[in-house]
Amino acid sequence: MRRRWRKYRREPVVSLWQSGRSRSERTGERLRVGMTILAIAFVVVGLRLGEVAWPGDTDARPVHAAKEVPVRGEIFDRHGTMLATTVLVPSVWVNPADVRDPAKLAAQLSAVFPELSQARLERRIVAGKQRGRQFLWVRRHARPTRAEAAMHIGSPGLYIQDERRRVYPQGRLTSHAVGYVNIDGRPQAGVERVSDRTIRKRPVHLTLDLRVQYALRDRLQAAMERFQAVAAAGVVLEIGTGDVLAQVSLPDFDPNDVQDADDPGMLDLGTQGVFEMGSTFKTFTVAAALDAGQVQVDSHFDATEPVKIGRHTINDYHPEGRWLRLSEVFVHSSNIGTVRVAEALGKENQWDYLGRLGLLGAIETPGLRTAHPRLPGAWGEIERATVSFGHGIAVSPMHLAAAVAAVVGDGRYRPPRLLRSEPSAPATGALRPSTVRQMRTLLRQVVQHGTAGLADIGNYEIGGKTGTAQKVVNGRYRQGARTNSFVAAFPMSAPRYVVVVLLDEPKAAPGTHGFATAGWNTAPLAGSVVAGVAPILGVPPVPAASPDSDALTQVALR
Amino acid sequence: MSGVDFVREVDENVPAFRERLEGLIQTPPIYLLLALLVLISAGLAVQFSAAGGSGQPWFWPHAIRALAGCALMVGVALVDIRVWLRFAYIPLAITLALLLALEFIPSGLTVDRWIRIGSFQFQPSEPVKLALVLALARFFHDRRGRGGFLELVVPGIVIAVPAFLVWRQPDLGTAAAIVAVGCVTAFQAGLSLRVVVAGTVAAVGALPLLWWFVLHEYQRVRVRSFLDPESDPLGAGYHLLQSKIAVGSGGAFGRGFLGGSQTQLAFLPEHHTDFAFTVFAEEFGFAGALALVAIYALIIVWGVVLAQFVRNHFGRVLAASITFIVFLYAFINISMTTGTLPVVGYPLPPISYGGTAMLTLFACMGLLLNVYVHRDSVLGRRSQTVV
Repeated sequence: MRRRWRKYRREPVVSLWQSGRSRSERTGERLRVGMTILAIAFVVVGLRLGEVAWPGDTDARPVHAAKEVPVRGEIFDRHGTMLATTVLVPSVWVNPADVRDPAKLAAQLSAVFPELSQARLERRIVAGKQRGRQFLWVRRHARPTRAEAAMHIGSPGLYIQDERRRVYPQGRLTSHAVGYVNIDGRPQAGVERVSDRTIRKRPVHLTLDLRVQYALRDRLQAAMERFQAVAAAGVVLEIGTGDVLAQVSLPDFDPNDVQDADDPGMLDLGTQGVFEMGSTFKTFTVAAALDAGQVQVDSHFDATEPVKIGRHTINDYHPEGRWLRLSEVFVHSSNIGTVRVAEALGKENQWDYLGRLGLLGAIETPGLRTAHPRLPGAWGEIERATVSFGHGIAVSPMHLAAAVAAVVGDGRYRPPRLLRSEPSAPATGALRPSTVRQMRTLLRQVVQHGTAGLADIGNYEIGGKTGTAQKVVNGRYRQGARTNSFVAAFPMSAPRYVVVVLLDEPKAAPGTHGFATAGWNTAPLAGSVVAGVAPILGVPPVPAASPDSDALTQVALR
Repeated sequence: MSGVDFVREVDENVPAFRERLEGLIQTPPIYLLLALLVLISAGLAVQFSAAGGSGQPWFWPHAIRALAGCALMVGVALVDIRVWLRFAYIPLAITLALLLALEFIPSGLTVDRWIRIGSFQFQPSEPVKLALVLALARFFHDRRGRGGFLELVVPGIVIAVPAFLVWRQPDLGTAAAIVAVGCVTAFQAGLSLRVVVAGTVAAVGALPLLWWFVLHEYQRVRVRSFLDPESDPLGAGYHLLQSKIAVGSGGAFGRGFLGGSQTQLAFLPEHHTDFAFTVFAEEFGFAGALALVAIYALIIVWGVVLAQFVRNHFGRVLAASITFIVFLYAFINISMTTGTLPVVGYPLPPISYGGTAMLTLFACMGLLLNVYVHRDSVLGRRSQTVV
């Protein structure tokens, strides 16, 4: 076709770029050029349309939410009362990169949250902007009305995000047993920490009975005030199951508002504190000696003179200066007599029985993890002697409660547990039933005729043992500083519950005649705890002149 | 025999492809009219949706204008092309007079592009593009490739005067479009390539001058915000960001008719006028938007193919240049709403609201049909018919 055109025009065509060709031909060429350009333009428009219709992440709004606080199950006591739950609360944060006017935003935010310093907030936002940070907390766990006010500021880069917050409805009452999680949901103490994995999967029920917990804490607090003690701890244990019904450590803290994790009140003395228990330990020495058959209830021991071991002299608090029967050694809490009993027992047996009663290792059971006991470095003659009356060995109140439960229960040791939904550890044999019967009688005797008369409150057949230990401060025993304990069980004819109370550095109080030994403070305290919890636990009082209790005493001590 | 250039030779060597292309325009342009009908329907849907699902205030005026536009199109198509050739300079003269009138009639508004006669408003910067094409086509038709200095000066003045007047309004987008339409017309009419190259070089060289001395500050801000819309998301970049969010919100198949949240909640500014396409894209998705683009492409392809087969130079230049006007409407507006071009306020007839642009488009379509009807006519100089 082009050839035909040329014939008409009679001029050679060199190229498109040469002028002088026919206009119409040029128009045709140029139409094709134009067509190509238009086609390209349309392809560009189509592609661009697709790009905008499916925006990538590049122009999406930046989402730099905080790390998600993990989901946690609720915590209940044994009767279904809520001890811990999770609620959603608003938290306010900014993306500094999107903030246009840091000064204005800081002013607006500090107007909503007066506790925030405007200058500091502005500095943080400006610094975040400079460093290209895209996330900055302003106020976590804000009140909903305040968060709404913050939202109405409506500044770019200001965001509200709902966060999971752990709430403890019982507050201080269960603070040490339940523990707490920090603001990021990390468990810090108590069951929250020990059973973190379980709680993150599902709700749990504890063995705690909130009523018993309340009674224990109430009595402990009253005693702590009365005797001006620096600290107090208490445990109530169900003997047949090892269930911890109550566990209190004072001072405590508000798990809903933890201020300082290093505060002394953050330490759970019931499980994490280890104490030289003093005379309460004589329970185990006597029980071991009886069980091993090395002594009998009517064996006599020489308590005329203080015992000299190496350069140490062991004396009695109330020296009797005569030969004592085993029951008298125990009831009058004779150190000399107990050392003699331990001599008869032998150090191999002593070690063995302490192990059987769970006193040589940490307790690790569902919901519960105690500190490791502090044991003597060597196990020589002096250690055998001091350990026999509870010095040179330090255990937690929880250890003490579990061991006494074995001594007065059925002779089997059950590791205590705090988590009801998990199966408990198997019980292990520790003592013969005959030993248990004898120990029940002896413990009851201590309250009836011995050092713990003030514990006998309310006819609940309380039996127990006092303990007054010199307090170790910086590796030396400090004069006048004591750790007093009392371990009680009730009702003694068929013990169902063990109560352990402990007062750290109690002082003499009005009515104690200047005394500050366990018989004057922890014994009546334990008695009042028993009187408080027995009705709750359905343990009936026994009339004072019950032939049962007297018969028990008479038979065993004959 | 004059006009020998326009005699189409019958050649047995014509490629099959060309025959098929020719077949495309031999058949009555029913599908062209169908495409127009779809576009009008889309426009009515958008106007209905932009008012929140109401016939007022935009749907009914839009429908009436569309009907008037169709009538105008048929009228323009039926007038003999020789009449158009003969009176080709008249529309330009009228529109230029109107633009001058705008310049000298004082008005209270800073941006005023409308002539008001009673309740009737008219925006002369729209039809001036078509008038310019008519005038230039006539000019080059008469020149018949004589070349020379005049071919550079006359079109230059004819293009520059309306462009300057429109720029003064100020309406940079339309002014640029007028220059583009004029240049393309000249290019298609066969302007010497030397002139074309020289002109292109001069234009590129003038860009910095344009930036500093011609553009207003708000226009520079617009260009800057086009280059980086996120830099000022609540200011100059706001339109574009909201538009892109809306298109993105539509996704593949859209939010459904009357379901576009950007549109219905009025996050999108100017949603019934300059951003009407965005409304459509949000509610009918990428699929719907692409279909709309395809329909515009169909009309343009038809126009270009027609230009290939028109026997007379006047009609050929008209077809190509008018097609370019239609292309500019679609390309500039869609590119603007998707962030490929700066936001310049360019309408998208017959989708967007606005009578002058719509009537201009229908006049364009009418002239295109006119050229189609007279594609085999051979026109002599000065409107004499030579067969």
